[in-house]
Amino acid sequence: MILKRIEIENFRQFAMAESIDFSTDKVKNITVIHGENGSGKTTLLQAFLWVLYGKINLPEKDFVFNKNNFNNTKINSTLETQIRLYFNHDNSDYELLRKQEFVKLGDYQFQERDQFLTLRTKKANGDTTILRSREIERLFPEKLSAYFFFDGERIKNLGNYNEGAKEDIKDAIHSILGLKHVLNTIDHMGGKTGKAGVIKMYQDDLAQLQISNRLYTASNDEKNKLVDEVELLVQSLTETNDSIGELKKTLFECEEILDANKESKTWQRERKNKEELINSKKSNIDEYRNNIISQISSEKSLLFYSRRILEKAEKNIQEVKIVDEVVDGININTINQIIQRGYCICSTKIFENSQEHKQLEDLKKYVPPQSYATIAKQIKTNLKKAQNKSVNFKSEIEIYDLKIQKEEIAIADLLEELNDLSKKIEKIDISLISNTEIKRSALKSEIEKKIKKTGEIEKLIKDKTSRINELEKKMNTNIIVDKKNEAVSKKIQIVEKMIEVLKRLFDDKEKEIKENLGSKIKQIFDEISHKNYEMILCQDYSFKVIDKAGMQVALSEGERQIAALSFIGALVDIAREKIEELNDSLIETQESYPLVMDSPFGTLDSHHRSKVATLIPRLCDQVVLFASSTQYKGEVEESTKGFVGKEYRIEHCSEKDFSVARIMEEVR
Amino acid sequence: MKYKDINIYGDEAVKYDLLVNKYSLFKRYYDVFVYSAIVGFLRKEYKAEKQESSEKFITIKQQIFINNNESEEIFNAIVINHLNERESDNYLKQIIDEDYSTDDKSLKFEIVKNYSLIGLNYLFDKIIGDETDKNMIFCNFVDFFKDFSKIEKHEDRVLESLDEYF
Repeated sequence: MILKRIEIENFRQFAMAESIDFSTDKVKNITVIHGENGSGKTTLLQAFLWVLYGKINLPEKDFVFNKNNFNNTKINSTLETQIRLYFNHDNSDYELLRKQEFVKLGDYQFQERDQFLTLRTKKANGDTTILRSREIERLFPEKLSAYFFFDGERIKNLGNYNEGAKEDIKDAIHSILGLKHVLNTIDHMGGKTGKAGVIKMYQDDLAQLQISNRLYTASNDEKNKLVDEVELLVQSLTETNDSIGELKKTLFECEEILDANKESKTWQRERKNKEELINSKKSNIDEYRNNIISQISSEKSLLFYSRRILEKAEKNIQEVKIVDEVVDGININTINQIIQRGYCICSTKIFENSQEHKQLEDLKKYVPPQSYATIAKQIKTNLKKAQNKSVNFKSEIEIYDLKIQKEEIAIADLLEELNDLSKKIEKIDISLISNTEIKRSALKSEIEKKIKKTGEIEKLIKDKTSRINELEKKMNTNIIVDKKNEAVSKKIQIVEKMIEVLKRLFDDKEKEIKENLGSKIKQIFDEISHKNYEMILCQDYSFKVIDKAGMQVALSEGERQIAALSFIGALVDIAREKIEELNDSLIETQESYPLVMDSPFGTLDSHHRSKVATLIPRLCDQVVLFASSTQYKGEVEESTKGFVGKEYRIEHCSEKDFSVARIMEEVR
Repeated sequence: MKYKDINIYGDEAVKYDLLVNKYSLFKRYYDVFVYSAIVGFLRKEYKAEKQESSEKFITIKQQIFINNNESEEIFNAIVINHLNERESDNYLKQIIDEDYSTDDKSLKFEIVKNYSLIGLNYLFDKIIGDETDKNMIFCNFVDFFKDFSKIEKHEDRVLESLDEYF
């Protein structure tokens, strides 16, 4: 890349349009811009950064415009700052324009409007193309700007090798070699500690996942515990069911015994019925017997069984000849009573010697005892009556006897049946039945308890299984988390491995570049330094200067400035080499970049200024050198005489309260 | 017929007790007395002997004979038949005279009593004998009355049948 021209308008001190054409001569590669202190050299250096990157590193950064111009602008009117940079890159000319409008709102009050950035390229054939503004970053990477734009302060720091300088060098080396990317990558991945960046992000994820994992573990522990509990419950349920089965079996056996007992009860009831029937029949028999006995003891019975006697007596009486008239139903005592009483039963008075009296006295002859025939007739009549009473008597006894026999046969049958029943009943162990009944009740109670228990166990199993299912669902989610966990862990491992590889790569490259840098610094320092000292780059990018004896030498300010330029020279040289090496990979060009230095001479004495000045043209293909007029004039001008292609002078004038600078080309 | 209280002593009293009280075959001593008299007459085993008094005895009150008219006819028949067999012509007059006499002699009742004492033994042997089983005794009792016609001695019945035939 070769800078060709810069045009500045309304930028800080430069109120008017100013322009610088840079030397593009390969020998006279230096463009010198000099002016008095405060004239605007540093502002001009910042103009490069603003046009390229829109940034400045100056006090009152917001005041990009020229304050005098701002004051001259009416309120609510706009003013414009713009810088154009022309450069050539890979045989193409580019024009970069950055323009910023401001609206004045009042004294020191303004409003920024949109910034315009335009990049145009013009091919060799004259074709012009407007490129996207971000192309500038590709062409002139901001990260490399620090190695081509050196202000005096930085150069001074490099010479003082303070912490800032070391970091500056380190950054420069890292950037140039692309190690910055590696470091950035390492930082991005693991941070300074290796615990930040992506790793931390992953570790945070992992921590979150581990929280989930802890939840998973907790869930799993709970689930395992529940599974164990459910297993125990299932075992308990199985045992309880088995126990119920055994109890039911025993209960069945008991019921079989008791069923037999039921039959026994039937038998007993039957026996009782039969016994009652027997008793009833016995009672009947007793009744029949009593009937027989009653009949036997009756008048009829006596007459019946004496009938032969009666018949015989009647027959015997018939054999007696009854000749008298018979007066039946009355005897002599009756007649005597009637006569003695004096009146008849028919109320007729009986007087002595009366007709009635005579008739009664005559009647005595025909009544017993005077009349045997009458007595006999009475006996015969009575015997006949007795015989008549005995008719059919025998059959009654036989009927009762038959009934008795029938009942006795029935009783005999019943007794036989009773005997059979008793034998059956006797076979049953009553105590066994009683014990079985007790056992049956206990078994039923036990079975009910166990069934209730199984219900409780089943409910517990159901609840716990439900909880297990819930946990498994939760855990399935956690398994996904766990897989993520695994993935994150793997990522962390990969990142750690990458960091390790990158660090190794970085260390190797850094070591390599340090050696190269150290060699170049030594070489440049040797060229610049007039003393027989040796400049050594330390591991921490600090440097030290030793004498021949190897003892560190305390450098003067001028010597430190030389050391700084040695650094700059070495860095630019390495960068150029690296760019060539990287080819298109990093910067996509084989070209070098210009070196823009502000006040590289600092407080160097004339001798050292001469030495540094001699060195500058060799540092880079194109050098833009800002120097104070005082420093430039004399040894520097003399030393760079053959290498300065363009020379500009910045003139500074105070207009009212504001500084205004103008760039004047020095005709050489 | 002139009745008196009758005391039955000794073994006969025991038999009365068994037949009436223990086995309840007869309701009253009276029944045993009458049946025994019938049996005695039918068995024609008349024997006039006086019982010796002993501590064991039973009494049959004369009132029960008075209250039960059937015994009058039975006893008359027994006495008529008894006297007829032994004294032929005068037996009826003898019976009637005793009924109308004023003394307390009771020849006819003595005749019946003697038959009864004789008949008691037969009756007891047929019904109880050595048997102790109540049912068997009752069966004997019933059989006794069912076979009452067999009480008469076989030869008597044959002779009597021949008499009737001729």
